[in-house]
Amino acid sequence: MNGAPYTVLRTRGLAKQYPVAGGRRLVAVDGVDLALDAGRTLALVGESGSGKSTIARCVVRLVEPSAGEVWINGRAVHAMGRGSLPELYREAQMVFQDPNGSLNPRMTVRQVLHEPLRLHLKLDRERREARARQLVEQVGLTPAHLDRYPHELSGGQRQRIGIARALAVEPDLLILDEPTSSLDVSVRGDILALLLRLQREMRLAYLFITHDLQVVRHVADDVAVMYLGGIVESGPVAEVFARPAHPYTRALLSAAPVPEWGVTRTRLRLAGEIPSPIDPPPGCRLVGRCPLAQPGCSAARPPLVEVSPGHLSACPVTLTAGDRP
Amino acid sequence: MKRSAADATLDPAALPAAPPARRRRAPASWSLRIGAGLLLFYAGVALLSLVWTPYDPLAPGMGDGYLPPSREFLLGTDRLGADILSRLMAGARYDLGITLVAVAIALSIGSALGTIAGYFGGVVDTVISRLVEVFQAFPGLLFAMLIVQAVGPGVPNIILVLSFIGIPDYLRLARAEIRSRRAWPYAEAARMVGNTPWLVAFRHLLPNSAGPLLAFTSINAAFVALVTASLGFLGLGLDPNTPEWGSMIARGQDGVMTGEWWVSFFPGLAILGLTGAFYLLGDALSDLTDPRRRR
Repeated sequence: MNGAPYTVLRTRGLAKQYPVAGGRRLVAVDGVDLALDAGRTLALVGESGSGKSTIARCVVRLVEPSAGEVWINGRAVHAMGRGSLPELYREAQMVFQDPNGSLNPRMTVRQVLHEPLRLHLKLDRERREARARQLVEQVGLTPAHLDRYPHELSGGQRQRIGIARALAVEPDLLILDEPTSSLDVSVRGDILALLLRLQREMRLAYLFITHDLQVVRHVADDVAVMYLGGIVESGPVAEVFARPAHPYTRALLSAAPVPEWGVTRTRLRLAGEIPSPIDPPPGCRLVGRCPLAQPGCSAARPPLVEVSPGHLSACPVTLTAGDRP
Repeated sequence: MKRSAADATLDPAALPAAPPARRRRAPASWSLRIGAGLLLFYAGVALLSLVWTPYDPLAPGMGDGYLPPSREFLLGTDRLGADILSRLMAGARYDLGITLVAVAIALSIGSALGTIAGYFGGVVDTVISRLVEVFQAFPGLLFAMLIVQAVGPGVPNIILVLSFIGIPDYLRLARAEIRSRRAWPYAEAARMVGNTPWLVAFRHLLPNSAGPLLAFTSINAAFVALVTASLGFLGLGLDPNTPEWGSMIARGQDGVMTGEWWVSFFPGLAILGLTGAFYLLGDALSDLTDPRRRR
């Protein structure tokens, strides 16, 4: 196995709009470019409604993107016929936010794990069973759990089954849609540790969707910060967290609690609430909330500009003002 | 190596799984017991009538006409002197049989079409739903009478007509159930593990809608049993000598005014019992399958 960087997922100009009443349109995702290498973790962070989950679903065509390109392992996902999507799902799998809702309540763990092995890999019963036992152990459970129904498992155990199901086909890309946010705080750490171990063992690429900055710091290599359907800042986690360039990222980071006694920070506060994604005006989406806004901000959407190697920000004001901390 | 063997020492926290918690079975409610018990009784009588009835249910003149209930004729005789108990027993085959088969057909076709309409949506859904609304514009019994007149008599025709008028209700219920579930994460998860849309709809979503559908089926069966008897009472669809309970009531209606109450009363009681049994069972099933009604 070689360690050469290999791009598993790439999106270009990914967009999703929904028509709403009155001929208007709701812009859920607006021109998103992502790149994710094998064995790496890219975290997508943002508030609810920022379009994170829509991106996850567009990438695997659970939701049809309105525009843009998605490439997974060099395969043009956006151009695939609906009938050939199972080929894609042998390479890209998803772990869902709610382990209750993503497991069929009438299926035992065994049935859940056998399904991808039967449908995708066409294994016979004996080999399915052997692989299912291997999978439950891989996620820290025992073969005794195979006979359980989802309601007989704890939330953490259910999420482990969701992970095992996604791993069954030995994918290259795992899309993790807030995999820990519906779990008790006490088991979140276990699940994150499990995910990190699996990534090391299998050189999985993770597209990790979350709104939890602590989780990002803990698991991700790169981070893309989303606001109202667009990426406002992206780059290596350490760099973005240490020197956030975009006012939104700064606000987000300064709003998060600090796990250290006596540390005080200057907080950057945004005014008001996240605006409606229906028929957004041109220009920067943060106009109206941003304390640093200039008259030019509402003219056109500021592009992502490199502020340091690999670190992109969509705010010309902080770039020119040179007030980076 | 890409996949290492499972690390058995990992995460003991997850290992002490809950003790094998058996699914707790809800205590059978009295409506479930009475409903299911009555239905079993009716089914037993229908089967028994195939091999034994006290008298020939089809033959007149077993005794004199209008004999009141006695040791010899437990439920009396009708105008033509046929034994009412024997006819009631044979009638169970007609009323229960027609109802069960008609309901089974309506349930299968209705829920299949409803699943397709609900899961795939779009044009398919629009066409199916509009068609259904056209048929639902007619009251069930009136519609049944019209079609029976059109297609002619016979048990198979009655079954077809009854299932046909039942399809829209099942279709609408299945469609609503599937629509409410199609965006559930397990439907998305099912797609990703390799199910085709058809498999997602029929193997994952439909079985999870079985509870509400079966509860409705039982309540609907009560209605179908009533329509079956009504058609018989009106003399539509079956030979008037058929020992079907509705026709038996019709044969006895002259006697009601002159004191021979038993001719119509006992078939009426049989119909009441059958519809009541279906209704009680359906009510119990709704309680069991609808978490909001579960205590």
